[in-house]
Amino acid sequence: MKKNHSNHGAHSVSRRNVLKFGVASGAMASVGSLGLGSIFCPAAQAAPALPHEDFLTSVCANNCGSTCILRPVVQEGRVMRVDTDNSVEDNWQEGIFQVRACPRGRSMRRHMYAPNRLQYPLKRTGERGSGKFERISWEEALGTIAGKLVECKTKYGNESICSLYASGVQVGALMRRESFYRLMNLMGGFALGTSDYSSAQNQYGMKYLYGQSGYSGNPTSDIAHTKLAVFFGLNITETRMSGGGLQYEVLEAKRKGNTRVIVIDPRYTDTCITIADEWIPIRPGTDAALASALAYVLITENMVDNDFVRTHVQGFDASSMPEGFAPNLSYKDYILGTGEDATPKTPQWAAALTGIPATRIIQLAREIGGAKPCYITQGWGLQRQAAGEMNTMAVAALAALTGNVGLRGGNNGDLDGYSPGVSPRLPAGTNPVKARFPTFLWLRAVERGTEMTALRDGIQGADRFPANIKFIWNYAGNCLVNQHSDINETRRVLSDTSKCEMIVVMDTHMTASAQWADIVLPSASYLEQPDIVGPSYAMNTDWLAFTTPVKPFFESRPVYDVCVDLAKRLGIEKEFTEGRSREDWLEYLYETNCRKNMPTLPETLAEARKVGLFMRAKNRDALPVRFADFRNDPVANPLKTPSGKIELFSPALHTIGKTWELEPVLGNRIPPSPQYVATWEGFEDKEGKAKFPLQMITSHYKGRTHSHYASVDWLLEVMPQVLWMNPLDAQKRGIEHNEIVRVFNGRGEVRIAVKVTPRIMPGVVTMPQGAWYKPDANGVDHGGCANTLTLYRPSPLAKGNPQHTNLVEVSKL
Amino acid sequence: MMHYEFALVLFTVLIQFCAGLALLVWLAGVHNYPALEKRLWRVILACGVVALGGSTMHLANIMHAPFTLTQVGTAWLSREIASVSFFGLLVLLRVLNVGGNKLNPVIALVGLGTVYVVSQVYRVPAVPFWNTIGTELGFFGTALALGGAGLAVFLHDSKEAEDAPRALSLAAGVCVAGIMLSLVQPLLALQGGAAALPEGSLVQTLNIAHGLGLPRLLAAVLGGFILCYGLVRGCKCNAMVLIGFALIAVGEVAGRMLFYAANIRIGI
Amino acid sequence: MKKSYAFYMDASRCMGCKACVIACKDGHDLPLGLNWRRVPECTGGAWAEHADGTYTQNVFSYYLSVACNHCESPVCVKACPTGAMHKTEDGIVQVDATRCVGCNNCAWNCPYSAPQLDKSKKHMTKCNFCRERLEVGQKPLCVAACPARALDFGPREELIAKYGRANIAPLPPASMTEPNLAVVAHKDAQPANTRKPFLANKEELS
Repeated sequence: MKKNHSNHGAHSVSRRNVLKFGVASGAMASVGSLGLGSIFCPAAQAAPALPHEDFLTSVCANNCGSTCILRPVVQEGRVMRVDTDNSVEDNWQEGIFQVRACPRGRSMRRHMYAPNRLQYPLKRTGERGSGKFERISWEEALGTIAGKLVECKTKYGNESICSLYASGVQVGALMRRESFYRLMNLMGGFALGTSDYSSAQNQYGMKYLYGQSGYSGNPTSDIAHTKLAVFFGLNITETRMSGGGLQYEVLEAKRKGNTRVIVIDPRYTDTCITIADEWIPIRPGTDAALASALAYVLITENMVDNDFVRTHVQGFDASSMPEGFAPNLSYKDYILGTGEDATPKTPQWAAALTGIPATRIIQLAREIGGAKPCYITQGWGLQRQAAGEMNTMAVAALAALTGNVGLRGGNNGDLDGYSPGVSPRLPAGTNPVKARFPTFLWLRAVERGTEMTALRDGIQGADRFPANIKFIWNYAGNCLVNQHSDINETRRVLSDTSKCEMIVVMDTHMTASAQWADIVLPSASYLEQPDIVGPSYAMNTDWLAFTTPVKPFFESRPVYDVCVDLAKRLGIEKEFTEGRSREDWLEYLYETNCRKNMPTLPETLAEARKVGLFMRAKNRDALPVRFADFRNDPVANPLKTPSGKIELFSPALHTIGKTWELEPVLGNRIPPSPQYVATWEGFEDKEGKAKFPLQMITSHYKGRTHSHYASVDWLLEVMPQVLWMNPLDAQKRGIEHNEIVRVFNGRGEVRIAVKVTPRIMPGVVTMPQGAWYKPDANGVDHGGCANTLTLYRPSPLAKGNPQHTNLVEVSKL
Repeated sequence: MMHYEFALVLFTVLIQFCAGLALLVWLAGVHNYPALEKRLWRVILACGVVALGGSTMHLANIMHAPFTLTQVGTAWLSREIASVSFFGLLVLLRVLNVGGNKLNPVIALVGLGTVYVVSQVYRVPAVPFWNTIGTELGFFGTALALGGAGLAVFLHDSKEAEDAPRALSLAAGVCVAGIMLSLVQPLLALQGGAAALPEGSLVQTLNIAHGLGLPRLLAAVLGGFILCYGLVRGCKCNAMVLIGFALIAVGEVAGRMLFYAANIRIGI
Repeated sequence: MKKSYAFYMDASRCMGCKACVIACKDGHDLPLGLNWRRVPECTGGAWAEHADGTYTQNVFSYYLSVACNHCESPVCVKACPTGAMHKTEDGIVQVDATRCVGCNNCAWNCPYSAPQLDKSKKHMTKCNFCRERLEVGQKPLCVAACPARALDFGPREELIAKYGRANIAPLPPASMTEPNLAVVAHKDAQPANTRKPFLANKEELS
C-alpha cells in the first residue's frame, strides 16, 4: 500500500497560519504561492497528519452531483477515520477550494464497516424477496451468472438482458457502470433504458423548448452577476450539499453579487435558510400555473423582451407561429385566454391553484420583468411530476420571454447549470441493441416488453421492443425495489420468477434491492479500489484525484475485476481487457485522457498517486455563458430545435400530442406549448382528494443521497426519517410532533414519525425519498420508504417517474 | 415518558427521612426513652447506609468516588457528600453510644444543614423547575413529613414511651407541617418553570406528570389524615399509623420522581 | 498565559448539514447517543389561510452549530465534585478521566449539553477543542469539515470583542455561562431570552 506521509512535512510550517483567524484573508494570502491562473497546482496534502497518522487520497463518488475528497487515516489496511480535504486554501473566485465532504462522506468509516455490509457472494435460498440467502463462492456465482447470460442471449435475445439504471457510483474510471456495459456490448448488446430517474421530464421538455436536454443553463455561480435570482423549486443547499460543490458556490456568489434570491418551493428548505431573501410557498405541481400567470403579467404590463422574442422565439404570438397551424395556438394566446381553452391565466386564476396570493404573483412578475439580467432557474423536483414536462418548460419559458437567455447573470431557466472538469472513463464501446425503453418503464418491460411500442410506451430505436426482460444486472443501484414507484406493484412482478428469470445485484450493502436478488455480489467500496476520479456532474471545478485503496472488505471485489472474470467465462476476455490489467487501464487512461487534459500532471500515474489530488484554477467570471452565440446571432448559431429557435410552440410536440396513445387519465396530455396541466393526484384531482386529501412530495434528504447511506446509524441518529407536516394539518388530525403516524393511500401504508413544522405548506406533506423499505408481514412499511405510496404511472411525454405527485392521508395510529 | 434516576430519588428521600427523624429525636426528647432512642439511631444509620449505597448506583465509576470530596470549596455536590458523610459519622457515634445524648442537638442541626446542602445541588440556573425556593422548602418538607411520621410510628409502637402525648402530638404536627411544605414545592417549581422555559414546556411537563401528580397529592393528604386519625383516636391500631406513614412515604417518593422528571433545561 | 480560543460560527451561512457533527463523531470515535457538536434548528412563524385558497406566512428558520463553548464561567466546572471537569490554562474546559466519577452533575448544569456521559468509558466526555490537533497546528475537526465555511475559531479575546458572546435562541442567555462562542447572527435570529418554543429538532440532539 502506498502511503504519502512523507509529503506532509514540507508544508507543515506554513499551515500554522490556519490558526490565524479569518479564512478569507488566509485564502487571499495564499493565492500568490499557488501561482493560480497560469499553472496546475499540485494540491498536495499540505496539512501535517497527527504524528501517528498516514493519509490516503480517496473519494465519495455517490450520486449527489458532487465528488468529494476523503482522506482516510489508515492502519493495517483499515480506515480508522476520515479527514477532510484541506489541500488548498479556499479561493472561490479562482475556482480553487477545498472539496469538503458532507456528513455522508464523513460517515464513510461507519458505512464501510457496517453490519449490513456484504461480505461474500450469496445465492437465494427462499422465495424471491424473502431475504433468505446462503454463502457461495465467487466461482459458483460467476459461473451461474455467465451461464444464465448465455442462456438468455440464445433463448430470448440480447434485448432480454437489462442493466438496470443505477447511480451508486457516479464517477471513477473503472468503478462506474461502464465495466458491465463494455462486457455486454462485446457480447452483442443489452437492454438499456433511455433517460433516468432524476430529470426525465426536464430532459424531454427542454429538448422541445431549447433543442437541448438537460443541464443547459449557466453555472449557478452566475448569480454573482445579477441582482435577482429566482429559484423555482431549486433546493441547491440540500441537494448539492458538499463543500466542493454548488451549495458553496451559490453561497459565495450570492455574497459577491449581493444578489436577491427568491425561492419558490412547497418547503422552507435549507436553501431558504442560507440563500433566500424570500420564500414563496407553492402547491406541488402548480409551477406551470404560476409561470403562466407571471407570463400574463409580463405580457399585459409590457415587460416582455420583444426584440429578443421576435428574433429568437418561435410561437410566442400569432406573428411567429409556423406555417400551417392556427394562429391562436401560440403561447401568448394560451396565456391571454384567446387560445383553445379560452381561459386567461390571470394572477387570480393562478392564486387559487398555487396558493400564492395574486398580489404576490403580480409583484414577482414585476420584479422579474424589471431586473436585467435575471437568473431564472429551477430545481429537479417540479419536473418529477405527473405533468413535469410542462412545469419545466413553463418556468424555462419565462427566461425566453424576458430575454435572459445567453446573458452573463441571466439564464435559460433550466436546472442548476454546471461546468465540471473532465474525468476519464473506461470505454464502454457501442451497444448493438438499438431498441430502448424509457428507464422508468423497465418493470413494464419485464412483464410485457414485447407489447411496448413507440407511440404508447416511448420505445426508441424501434417501433416495438423486441423482448421481455429476463435478466437484470443491478450494480450499485436501488431502483430495483426501493427507488422505483409503487413497491407493492414491483413486488408483484418480481415475485414471479418466470418473468424475470435472474436478478443479479452487486452492491456494497444488503439493500432493499439486494433482498430481491437471486445472486448477490459484494462490491468493493470507493475506498477499496484504486481509480482516477474527477468532479461529478454538478460541479464547476476542475481537478483529478488518483486514489489509493485500503483492503477490500471480506471477499468484496471491484466491478471491473468481476467483469473480467465474467468475460473469461464468456470467451471474450481478450476483447474486454485488450490485454491490459486493471493497473494498465488506469495508466492508459492517465496517459490518453488525464495528461491530455492536464498536461502538467507528473509523468507517471505512480507519481500522481503520491500527491493524490491535482486542482486547476478556473476563474468564476470565466465560466461559460450558455447560448451566448445563439443570442448574438441566432441565424448563424441556431438551436437544435427544428426551427433553430426557442420553440414556445413546438410542431413536433403538436404531432406527438395528436398521435401518441396515452392512458386516459386526468392530465395525460401533451400540449404543443408550455401550459399548466391539471393532473391525477394533483391539487385539482377532486375525486382523489376526497379520499386522500394531502399532496405528498418526496423531497431529497440531507441524511442520505437517494437511498445511499440511508442505513448509517450515525446519520440516522441526527437526521432521522420523518414526515413533514404543517401545524394546521396536524391540528386537524390531532397529531402531535414526533408521534408515529399512518401515511396511506390505495397503494400502501407507511408508519413514520412526524415532524410538525411550519416549514411546509398546509395541505402538503413530504416523505423524503430514499429511506430503506422495511415491510412487516402485512406489507406495511416501517422504514419510511416513500415508494410504498407512489404510483407507477409515467409522465406523458418523457415517460418519466412522477414521484412527487401523490395523494395520501395521514392519521393517528 | 417520565425520566428519573431511582437511585437519586431513593437517596434524597432517605437522607431527608434520616435528617427529619434525627431532628425529632432531639425535639421530642427521645433520650428519655433510651431503648427507643437506640432503636431510632440504628434505623437512621441503616437508612443512611442504604441511601449512600443506593446513590452510588448513580455513579458511572464508583472507583473515583473518593475524589468527590475534593471540591468542597466550590461544588455543592462535594458539600452534599461531605455533609451526608459527616451526618452519618455522627449517627454512627450515637449508635456506638459514643458522646452521649448531648450529641443529639448537634446531629439534628447537622441533619438540617445536610438537607439544605442537598437542596443546593438542585439550585441549577439551567433548570427552572428546580431553581426556586420551592426546592429547599420541598426538601425540608420531606424531612419533616417523614421524620414526623416515622417518629409517630416508632413512638406508637414503643412500650417504653406508651404515655408520651407531647412527643406524639409533636411528631404529628411536624409531619403535617412537612406535608404542607412538601406540597408547596411543585407550585413554586411550576411558577419558576413557567417564568423561564419556552411556552408549552409547562403543558408538556404537566402532561408527563399528571399520571403521578394526583396520586402523589392523594397519598400525602390521605396519609397525613390516616396517621393523625390513628394517633388522635389513641387506639392501639398500629396498622393505621403504619398505613399513614407508608402513604406519606409513597407520596414523597412519587413527588421526588416528579421532581427529577422536571429536569428540563434552558437552552439546548 | 497561553493563547486561548473561542469558536466562531456564522449562522447566516450554516445550512444545518451536520458535517461538523459527523466529523467530530468519526474523529473522536464517539458512540451512538453522544455528539459533542450538535446542530439545533430554530424555527418559528405561522400561517394564515385566506378565502381564495391562498396562504400568507411569516415562517423563518435557522441553524446553529454548538459544541462546548469553553465558557468564561463554566458552570460544569463549578458543579463538578471531583475536579475532573476543569478549565486549563489555555481556556479549554476538559474532563480528567482519571478523576471523573460520572455523576452527570456537570451535564445537569450545562445549558448547552456539552458534557455527555460515555457509559462504556464510565466517565463524562466533551469537546476538547481538538487539543491534539491544535498542538500540531491543525484546525479542530468540525471547523475543518464545514462545507459552508460557517465554522471557525480564533483568539478568544479578539473574537469576543468583535462579535460578542452568542446570545441567540434557542441558546440560553449568554449571561448564564459567558460562552466563548462568537456568532454572526442569521437575518432571522431571535433573542436568547425569547420564550417562544423555537427549538425544532430536539429529537435530533440526542
